[in-house]
Amino acid sequence: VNTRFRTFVRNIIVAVALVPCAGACDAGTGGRPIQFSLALAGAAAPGQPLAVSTNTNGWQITLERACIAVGPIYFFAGAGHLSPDETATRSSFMSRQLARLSRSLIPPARALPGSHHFDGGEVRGEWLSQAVVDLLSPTPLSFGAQNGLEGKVGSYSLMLDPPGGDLARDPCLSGHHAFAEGSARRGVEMVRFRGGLDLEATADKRRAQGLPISGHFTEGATILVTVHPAAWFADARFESLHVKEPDGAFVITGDSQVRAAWFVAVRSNAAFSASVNLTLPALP
Amino acid sequence: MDANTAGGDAGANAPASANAPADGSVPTPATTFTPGAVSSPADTNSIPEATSSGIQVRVRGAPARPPVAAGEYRIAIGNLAEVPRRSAEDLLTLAPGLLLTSYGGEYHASGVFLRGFDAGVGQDIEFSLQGIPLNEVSNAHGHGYADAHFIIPELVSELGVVEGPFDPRQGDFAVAGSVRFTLGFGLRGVLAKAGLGSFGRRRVVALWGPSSSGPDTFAGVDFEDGNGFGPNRAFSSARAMAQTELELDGRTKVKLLAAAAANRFDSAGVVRIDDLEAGRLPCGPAPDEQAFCLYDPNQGGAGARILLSSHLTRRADRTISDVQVWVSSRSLRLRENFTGFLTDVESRSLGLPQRGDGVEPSYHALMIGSRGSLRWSSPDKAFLRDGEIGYFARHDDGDAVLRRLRTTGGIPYKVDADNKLRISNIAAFASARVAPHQRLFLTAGLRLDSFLFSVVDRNRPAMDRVGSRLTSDATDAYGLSLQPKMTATGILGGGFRAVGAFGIGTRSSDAQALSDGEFAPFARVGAAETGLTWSRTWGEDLLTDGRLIGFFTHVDRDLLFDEQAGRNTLAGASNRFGALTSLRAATPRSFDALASVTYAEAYQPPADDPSVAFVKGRRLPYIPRWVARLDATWRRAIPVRDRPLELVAATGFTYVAPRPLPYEQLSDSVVTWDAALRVAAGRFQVGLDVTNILDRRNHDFVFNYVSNFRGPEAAASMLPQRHVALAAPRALYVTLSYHQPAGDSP
Repeated sequence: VNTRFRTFVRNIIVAVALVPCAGACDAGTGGRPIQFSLALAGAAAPGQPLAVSTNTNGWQITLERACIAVGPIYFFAGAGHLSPDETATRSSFMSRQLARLSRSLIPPARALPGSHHFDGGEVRGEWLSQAVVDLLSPTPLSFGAQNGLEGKVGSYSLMLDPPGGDLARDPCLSGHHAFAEGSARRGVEMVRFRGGLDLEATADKRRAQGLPISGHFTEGATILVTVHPAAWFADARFESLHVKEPDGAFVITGDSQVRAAWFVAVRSNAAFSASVNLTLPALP
Repeated sequence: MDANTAGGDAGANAPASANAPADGSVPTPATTFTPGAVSSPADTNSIPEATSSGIQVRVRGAPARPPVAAGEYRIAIGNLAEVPRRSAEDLLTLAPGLLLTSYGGEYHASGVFLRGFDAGVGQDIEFSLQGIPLNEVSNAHGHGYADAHFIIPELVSELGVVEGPFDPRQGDFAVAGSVRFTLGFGLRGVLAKAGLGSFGRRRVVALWGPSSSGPDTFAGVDFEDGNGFGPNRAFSSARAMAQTELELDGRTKVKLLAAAAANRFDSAGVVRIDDLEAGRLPCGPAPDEQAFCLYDPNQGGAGARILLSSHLTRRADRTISDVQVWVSSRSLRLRENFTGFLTDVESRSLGLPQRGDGVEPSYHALMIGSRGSLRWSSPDKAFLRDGEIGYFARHDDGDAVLRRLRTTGGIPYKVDADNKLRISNIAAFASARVAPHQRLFLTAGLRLDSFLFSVVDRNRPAMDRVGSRLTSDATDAYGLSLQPKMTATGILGGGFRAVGAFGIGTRSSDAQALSDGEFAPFARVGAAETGLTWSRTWGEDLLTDGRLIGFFTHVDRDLLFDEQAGRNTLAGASNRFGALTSLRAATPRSFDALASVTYAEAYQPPADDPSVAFVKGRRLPYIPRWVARLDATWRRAIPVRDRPLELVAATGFTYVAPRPLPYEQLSDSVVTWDAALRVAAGRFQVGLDVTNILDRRNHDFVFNYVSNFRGPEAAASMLPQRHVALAAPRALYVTLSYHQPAGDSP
């Protein structure tokens, strides 16, 4: 009874203390709007120059041109199905091992509401525009301050809609959603290739959803989203290309295996990565 | 010359008369006021008598019910009817701390805030007219939707307000409190009034009170239309009300009431504040063109209602018994769009442009009901002072449908909900008041409500995993809610009384949230308040009534606004506390003022700890923390060339401090100042009302949520954004009235 009474008295004191500041103090509803900066860039495969990679079929691919229309991008508070095992961050070794064992025996289920294929929960930030990213350019595209909400961010989704407005006439895209040109070499075989990728409007084919990101959105945070063109042709069989252009380059046709592999890879987890870097205040 | 100049008052909030008993009950001896004073509460069964100088009110028989809480107000409208107001609903702002916000058009029920509650369009306040409940159970727009626009404002003589669930007579929806409209027309003869105002507003009213009867007998018609203060805000309505009081014998009376109304209105809905500030709205570039612009022209609504009531009252020496029966038919269809192009996932998954998030809630219901009570009192100085038993029964049979509309053309494309409703609410209550000491009165009451829901959901799929099936499901739920109430009143002397009250209240469940066999289809609220009241008469006729009250309320299952559903939906437990002070001062002939200041806080505790606490969890957004209101009138007769010229000046002032919004934001404050000036000569009166004199662009509706008004194919912003509906700008309204007294020839 004494504890209850003390709690009651404390509540009364808190309530009375709040009265003078009501209307002048913070709203007290939680959360905080912030602004973060966003940049998009292309990236090389690990250990390779920017435009060079080797795929699972033994083709060493050298890209001469690679670009894609990207946007909008949404950042979510919740983790996606592709997010890494969170137990890896636990401090104790035993704790990590027990958590991993538990997770391997009973994998976590991710139930999603309604007909959604992905629901990352509350949106922490968004970039509603669209841009054509030259993935072979060493300079990231920067889009300045974007609106967001303070808090943990666990996943993000990219829209890969057809380029709109002036972007549709971007020469790098040649009228497609994405475009690639280069050569693939395997032993003595060498295939020059060229082609564009268009994504169907049905279902979620124009979305890369639930991609992992780990960090905390705060005021002034910088987000770098990186597109990895090396992943685009990771499973491509360039020997299957058979339509040749006058200059000798093979065309990535809609019915080719290369196009199918590209279509799958362009929305895959491997094709994107993102990082949150806090902008630290300058030291005096 | 006022339509509401009925006789005297002995109500709890109306300034007490000089001979008011100390315990707050209505005085037994006759009390006589002259016209212009606050009017008499209907439940005193006052017997008006016409005299050559006006109306006399004699109160006789058993005392009226004493107040159940310091927060019980019986606000006689009286001269405060002169303060500019557009509807009977606007009279609600006379209740201390009550805030109205409008977003859906001229005759859309306003959102109501009271004592830390966002009562939506009626979900948390029990509304009634002459004892007839107005809340519409499981209305597709909002559970408890209560629309008072069918009431002719000149015929409202009193507002009975109980802030909190402290009265055993309070039933379903009395969570934040209850409001009772009482009708009366003090003038005898014919009052004809015509008005013309800004934005094409036109109104014609004709009211009649036969000379052979008192203020409870009247008839009136009211026609109104206008273009509204911006595009897509036109409105038109017709209203008719008639009531007669028949005296069957010296002790038995019966009141017969009939009312009918029909209206139609357009609505501009809400706009995103970022579009407004950037001038991106699809209207002209001028600030006001942007301010009053809209996205979706398919918004608006139409409604109709007819109701009949018969109320029999019989008085004996120390008892009053009454029985009332009523029947009401109601139809309502609204069209709203809160989110633009956001929720049409079917089109998006097919790669098609979204069709739009227009919602069309419609509601058609027939309500029949009855209530009755027996109240008795003991001789003075008895331990058991008085008591009451009563019953309430209501049955609603109707349909509630919620459809989705295309933004282009407003064509329905999907049914979100289609329910056939049969809902019964049967209740009984009892209360008794004892006096253990000559200065201490204790009242204990108990109410038992039963709710039976029979709902047929006609929007089920035609196939399931087993195979084909019928597209309807039936759900039944039944529950009992026991609601104790207690009041303690201490007489402190000098006109001061200390009143403490505790009560449990109930709100029935929304049929859309029911599961089959649910045994508790209602939310419960626990409330406590303590207050100091003060009544005093100064000199011969200055009457004052003051209150200082603190309150706390806990709700176990609160409802909060869901913009995607376009209605309030279940949102867990919540706690509230606050304080208010009010003061009314009036002289029967010349001056009347009512001022109040209310402070309220509301918190939503974490879902895993829905405990009762003052401050736990996050503050509930949108709840106004400070609300101040002043209504004042001044009346004076000036002889001009030996002819009396009556001047009436009136003003109303509202201040709402910045409201907390999600993400640590605060809304803008709201300041509204209205005034009226009327001049009466003989049987004619000319009046000028000016509303929003400061011409402020007040935000009536403020909500933060995700929307996409950029277009059906545009990338939607998924960050919550502030949405607002602007209140009316400064407007003028000129009236010309003519009063033909009964028995006189024109």
